[in-house]
Amino acid sequence: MNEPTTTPTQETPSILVATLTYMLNVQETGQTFPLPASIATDDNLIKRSLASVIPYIDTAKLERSEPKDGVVTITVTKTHAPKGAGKPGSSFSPVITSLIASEDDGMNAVIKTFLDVEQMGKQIASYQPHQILELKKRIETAFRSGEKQDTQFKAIVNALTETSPQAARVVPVGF
Amino acid sequence: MELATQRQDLLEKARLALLRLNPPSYGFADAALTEVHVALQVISVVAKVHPKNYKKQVAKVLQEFFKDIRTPRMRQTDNQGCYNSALIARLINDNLFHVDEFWLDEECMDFGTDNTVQIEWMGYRISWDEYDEMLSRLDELSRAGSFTIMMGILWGNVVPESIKEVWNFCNETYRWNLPEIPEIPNNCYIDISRLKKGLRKHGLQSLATLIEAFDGSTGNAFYDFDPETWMPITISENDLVVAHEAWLEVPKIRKILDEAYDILETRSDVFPLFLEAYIKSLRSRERKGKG
Repeated sequence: MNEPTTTPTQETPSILVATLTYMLNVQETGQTFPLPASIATDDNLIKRSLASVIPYIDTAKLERSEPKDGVVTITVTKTHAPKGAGKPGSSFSPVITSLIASEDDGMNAVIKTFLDVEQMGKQIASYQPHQILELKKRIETAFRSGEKQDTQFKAIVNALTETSPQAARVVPVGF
Repeated sequence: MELATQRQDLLEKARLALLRLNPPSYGFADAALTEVHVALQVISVVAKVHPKNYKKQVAKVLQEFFKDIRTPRMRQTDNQGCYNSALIARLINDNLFHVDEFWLDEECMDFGTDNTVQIEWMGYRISWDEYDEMLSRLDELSRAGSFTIMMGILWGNVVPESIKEVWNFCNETYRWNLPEIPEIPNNCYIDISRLKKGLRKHGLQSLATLIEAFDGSTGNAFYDFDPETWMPITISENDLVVAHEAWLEVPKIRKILDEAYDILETRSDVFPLFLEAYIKSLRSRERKGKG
């Protein structure tokens, strides 16, 4: 309250310095309140300062209006954010990154090979012996990796099913 | 005709494209792919043993099999078989060796969950139940059939108090020409080479093969197979080849066994001559002490 809401002379070009006042408008609630110029000139500072007041401000969109009668209105608009573990730097982010980077389609090798064989269809009936052997080997490889994938998948599902729920220590990004 | 074919091709492509959008569960894909894998193993072996005309042998059945590997499995319910599995069993039966009739029945077959096959057994091996049944119908046997009864008595399969009655009945009814029940020493084994040698002198060597077939010791799986205790073969290329090779020997053994039956039906002196050679071939199991 004691701090002036006018931009300090030494931080901004002199042409704007003396006249600008900053107002923050929270679109979701319709609230409008003044911001000290030392904070209002920097979006990151705004976010840091108001994180406890506006929980979603970290991912919110900040839009500055053109100065009108010496007042710049900064509108805070809530935006959709990545859910759960999408916060960069969280312990889950390597998992998310590796999932995004993965080139596999997530389909079990056995199911994928089944679909491929199904597409080959009646052509297989006219295969030469060496082609039959190749297909057989491909299926055997699919069995090996598919079984492993399925075992791992079931183990994860079991672990998740058997784990008792725990309250999160932090509010995940997006909530 | 051209248009009809094109339309059919387009429909088939559309069907396959739609199927691709609907992946099955892991369990379903695993079973269907296992069935395909069994089919490929069978084709490989058919190609190996019939290199010149294997395509001709298998093409029609394979066309049918690979036409649709999904729907036949979807149709099956618990404890029921699969049409495609029966096709594979038919392929084995027609090109490699005969399988048990049960395995050709699509309502019983499912290679997707049980990739085993039961070979056709020749039925010479005598089980206790079958022998008991023969004993209960002594008057309905053929002369050759009565030879089984004789072997059962010699092998101790008839209770001592019934031996005399059974022996006398068969001796009279089936003209064994053996009024006296032979004394068989205990704890003996048959020296089969000696038996064969003894029978060969009288042109009866086929009888040695016959008792090997009764005993399940011909060395050929199709005759030695015991459906009560043997497990079905788990399908692998090696086992299919071995079974096929054994199957190729079947006609030769069958011919010998047919000859044995002919002899038993027609030669009046066959029972005494056999018994003489049999007793001479017995060897004591007792070991002689060293020194």
